Amino acid sequence: MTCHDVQQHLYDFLDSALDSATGDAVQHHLETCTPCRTAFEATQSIEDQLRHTLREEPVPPTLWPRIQADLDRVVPAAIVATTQKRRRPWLWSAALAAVLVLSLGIALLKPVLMRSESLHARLLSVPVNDLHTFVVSQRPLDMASADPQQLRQWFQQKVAFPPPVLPEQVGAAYLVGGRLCYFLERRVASYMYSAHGHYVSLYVMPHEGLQQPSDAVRRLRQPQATVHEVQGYTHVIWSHTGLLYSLVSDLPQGQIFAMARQMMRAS
Amino acid sequence: MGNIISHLQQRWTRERFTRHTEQFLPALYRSARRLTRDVAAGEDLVHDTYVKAYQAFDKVELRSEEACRAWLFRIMVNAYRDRYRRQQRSPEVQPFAREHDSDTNVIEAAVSPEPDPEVLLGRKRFSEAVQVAIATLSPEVRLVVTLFFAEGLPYKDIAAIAACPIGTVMSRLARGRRQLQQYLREYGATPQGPPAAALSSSATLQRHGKAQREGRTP
Repeated sequence: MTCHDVQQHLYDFLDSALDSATGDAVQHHLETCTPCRTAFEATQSIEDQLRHTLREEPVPPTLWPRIQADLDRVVPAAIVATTQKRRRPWLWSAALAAVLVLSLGIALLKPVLMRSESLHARLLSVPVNDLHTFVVSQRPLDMASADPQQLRQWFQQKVAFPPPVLPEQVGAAYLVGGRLCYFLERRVASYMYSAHGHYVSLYVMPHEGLQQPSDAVRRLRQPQATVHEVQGYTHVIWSHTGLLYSLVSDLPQGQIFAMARQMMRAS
Repeated sequence: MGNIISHLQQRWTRERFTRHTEQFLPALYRSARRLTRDVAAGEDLVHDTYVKAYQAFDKVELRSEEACRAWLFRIMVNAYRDRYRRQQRSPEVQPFAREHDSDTNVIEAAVSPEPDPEVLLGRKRFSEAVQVAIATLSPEVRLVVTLFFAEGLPYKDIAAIAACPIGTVMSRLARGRRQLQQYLREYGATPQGPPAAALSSSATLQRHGKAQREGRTP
């Protein structure tokens, strides 16, 4: 195989898209030809960085709420069609079916409506709203410190539970301080991290009276960790030794999951 | 009565729609941002995609997450094409300004003298150079490049989303890659950090050889 052949196959080789014989021939050539190997490595290097750069694009936190608000005003085409069909002569059958659907609908919706008022439902949204308000209002931190021990001592005087010592750095996020919050009828310690200009807040609170939400979009491998998407933020919830942990951020989900795993190990 | 039923039905559709589609927001936004080359236009494109998808949601049968993702991407790509057709009045792929350069020898380009390390651009400038480089691609090439690099989709999925043959995807992708490589090298945007050069060449090669034998896609 010549250098020209290798050049022709370079991208297919990078994508592992060559058949076994051609792939082996390219590989053998690259092992023995320094200019081609240099070219291969330079191409691969730029493409790796390109891939990394293109995947770093956090969703603006206002986008999902905006979409949701507009969906409220849109009626799906199938429902418009169904509504129009109902005006046809078999009205009575349709009316009977409608009564059944309505009864069933009320029966199904009742627990949902009741649940929405409960503490459990507020657990999903309140921490997200708190972080969002903090970011939008550009308030200062209650305690600016990158020292985990100092932060723990500060929280110790403010909350009714033993505050954990959390790592100084979690993934790309650095500890920048803490805030004392009050919601869900309890005092909550908010450990604030910062990464790439985004805040990450870990809320720690007593578990008592709160339930781990069951309607998660996915679960992490660790026991009891559920993932929720609320208003463009990712919200990971888990519990450990009587405390409930709620991690909120608008960073890409992969980074948030990695942080959650590290924090679970630390806590 | 009709209104109540319609309301319940709509509510039920809405819940199912959100449950199935919300997880794809980051991927859709990421691609929309690259395709439109603008934050606000990217947001608008994703917004329109969700509204169109919601209107058609009850009429499609989606059997898996992959099918749902492909469906959303197809809607977004159609909306994207509508936009640039309106802007350019030409649905055809626009010739890239430096198309004639595309056959430049990759190996020669790679072994040409590297810029002095002191002028190597940092990660931030690399990111900015990528933005510019992507923006110089023609719309259809940009679409294929974005789906390949940002979403990591295989050729056949890209072909399904872009509604074109796999061969077209491959040729557009190859063209886009050559143009990006050339642009990023010309402007000295060699990435700093841990890339392949840091790995031993034999380890890098073994990794590729192994992937091939196992028949894996990138």
